[in-house]
Amino acid sequence: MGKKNKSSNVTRRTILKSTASALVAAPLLAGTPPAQNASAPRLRFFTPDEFAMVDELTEIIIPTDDHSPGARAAQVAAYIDAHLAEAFTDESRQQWRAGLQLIDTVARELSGKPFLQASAAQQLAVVTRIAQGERTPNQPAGAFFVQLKQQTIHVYYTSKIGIQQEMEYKGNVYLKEYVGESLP
Amino acid sequence: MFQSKTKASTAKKSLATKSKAPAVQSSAPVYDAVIIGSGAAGGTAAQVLVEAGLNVVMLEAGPLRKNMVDFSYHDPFPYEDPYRGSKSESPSDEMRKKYIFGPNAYAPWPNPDEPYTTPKDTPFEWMRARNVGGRTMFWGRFANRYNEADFKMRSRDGMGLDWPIEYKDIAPYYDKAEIFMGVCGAKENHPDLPDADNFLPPVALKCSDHLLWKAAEKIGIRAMRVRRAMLTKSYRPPGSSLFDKDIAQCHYCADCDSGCETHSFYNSAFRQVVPLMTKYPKRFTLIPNAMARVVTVNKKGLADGVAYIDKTTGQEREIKARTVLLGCGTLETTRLLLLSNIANSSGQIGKNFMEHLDLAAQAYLPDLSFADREAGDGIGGSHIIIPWFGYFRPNEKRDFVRGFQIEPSVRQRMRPDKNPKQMAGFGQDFKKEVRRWQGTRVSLACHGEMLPSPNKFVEIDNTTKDKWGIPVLKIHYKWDDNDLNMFKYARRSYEEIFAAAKAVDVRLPKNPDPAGHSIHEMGTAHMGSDPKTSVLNKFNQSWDVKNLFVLDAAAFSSGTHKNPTLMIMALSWRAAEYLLDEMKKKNL
Repeated sequence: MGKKNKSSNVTRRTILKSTASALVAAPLLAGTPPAQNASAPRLRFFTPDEFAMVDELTEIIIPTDDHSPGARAAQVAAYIDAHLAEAFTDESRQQWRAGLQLIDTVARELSGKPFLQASAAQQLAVVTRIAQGERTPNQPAGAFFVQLKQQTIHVYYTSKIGIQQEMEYKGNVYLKEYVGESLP
Repeated sequence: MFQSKTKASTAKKSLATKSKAPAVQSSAPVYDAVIIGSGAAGGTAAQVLVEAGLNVVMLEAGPLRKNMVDFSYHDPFPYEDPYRGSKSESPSDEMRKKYIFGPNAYAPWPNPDEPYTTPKDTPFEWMRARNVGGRTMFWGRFANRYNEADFKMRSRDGMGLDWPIEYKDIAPYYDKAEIFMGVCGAKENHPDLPDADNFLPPVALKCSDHLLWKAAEKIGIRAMRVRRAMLTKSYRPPGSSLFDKDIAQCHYCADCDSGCETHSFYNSAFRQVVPLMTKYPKRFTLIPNAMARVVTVNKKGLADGVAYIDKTTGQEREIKARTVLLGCGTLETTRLLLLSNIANSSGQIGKNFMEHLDLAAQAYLPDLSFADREAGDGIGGSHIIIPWFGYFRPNEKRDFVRGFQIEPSVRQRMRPDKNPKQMAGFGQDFKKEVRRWQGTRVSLACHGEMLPSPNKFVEIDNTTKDKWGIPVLKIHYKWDDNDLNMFKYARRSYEEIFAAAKAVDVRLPKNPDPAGHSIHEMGTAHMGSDPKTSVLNKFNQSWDVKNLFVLDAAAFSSGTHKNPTLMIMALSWRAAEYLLDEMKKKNL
């Protein structure tokens, strides 16, 4: 292992030393967009419609709220696209493709439209419907929801937004002093 | 005894270029002292002896790490890895795998080159370091003093052994070790932990520290500020010749377990060994990758050096010295003594083996979800400690003797404290629920005193040899009733503290942590006042071989419930000064 990790480690340390902590090492995965704006990444597996669906679905699962940005800002869908493109077997690619078709089927049942053309309220209803399958993950809808949610969780909570803004993690960096807490 | 004429010429050749101390009996240089092991024990003795003018050579079974090169220190954030850590181990894990051999939760990697054995039904997870600095590179940094009673517990309850020294004998050396390391803390007047005069400023408490402190107080248990060898301000040890500038204060990254690139907590590699190499290149020699095989003895029965394997070539070499000091880490020291077949007229080497009773438990404190995370995580782990509280319960009837200290730990983590994959739902409520638990996970750990018994000992296992052809150690460690009764009491105490803190989702273990997890091996070559029943005198000096010293925790007469490193350093410092004194008197 190591070379990539090591180099990113050095980069991080260099960054820390120069205190320009806003910079991040350039993503090594081709196709992962370097900018925060996930509107037009270079896709490696998903079709543009599939990508738009995943982007919407992940944002519904972990949305932007008054505390921090959500999955869209954290570029969760772009990571999933790259992840699937590099997957060793076709199985997970097929599962995702089939899962997204299932979402469209449910969307047509509930709203008469494909998922992307449904209103925000209708999209929420679709996710609510398949999320009911969370406790029965042996059913196709439940299985896909679990897969979608777990991957969203993994990517979001390992992202910079997830760690630094949502979880407010303050470790692993240089601090000048430790202030502590005084009791009220 | 070991004799090797053919190898001696090799040793002579390797040393000839170094022009060390004047030769005494042959043309090969003879050092004033050979120190085996570079951890807290070896590092401290080396510093004292070299500063006093002696020519010292130090052997270490592992390599010298290059700071910032071999040692990862902080891990990269997962988002800096395009695969989010899913394809590879973190640099910290990789470092541990390279230098620390377990197996246990911290270091699951065995060292196939240098194995050890145990009986099948009593595994012992022996965690060894193979690098200059030994286990001080990633130690817990607690610096707690023994109290007066700790030295004389056999006299009080009839169990285990008394020390041949008293608190007042060691107190001046506690001072020296604390001043050298820099220990943060405050005077608290606690009966279990004597105060020091030279604390660095204590570190401010975290929200969780306040909460646990109050919870313990509610049930009559007293907490206090933690004492750790952490620099809470930039620091140059007064009286030491080793530093030209201040050592940086702690930068509060809170990832001390991965080591410290600024050496803001004491480690012997970069606070003793490397400075000695830099400052005293003519008087101090480090030989890394040197696996000691046997202490050599001359015709008078005195130790005259050590034969070791150069791990880089597999060749055996010899070092000659006027005195031999062992600080290989308790069990390696004992292995070497047993293999050398010396200093054991008492028959006590390998016996009186102790480690600490550990148990780790965790729970969630919902009250902590309101804590402000802006301040960071401090010095790694909690900023409080709960010393043994039996002192405040004089009339309580307990079914065990001795005590334990509780070390709480509340750490900020990068990842959610409560696993979101096990939480139902999605959307804003889900996100909020994950966030609500963040920073609420609390761990309690403890160190309890375990008594020596016939169930706890080590011996040479002649059926197994390591890569260098050296027979390995067989470790016997079976818990006794006293240990298990203490475990049950500690478990109940955890329950009470958690309840008082209104904890939920409490997870208490059914058994103590696996044997070896404390990483506090002690005893097996203990000091005493009678040569018939102890291995060392009260100055860590062998009764049988007067120029042989055991510097590490093998010398401990009892384990108490205190973290051993401060005691190791104090004893080693004292032994080194005694050695100097004996040399001056021409007794050595």
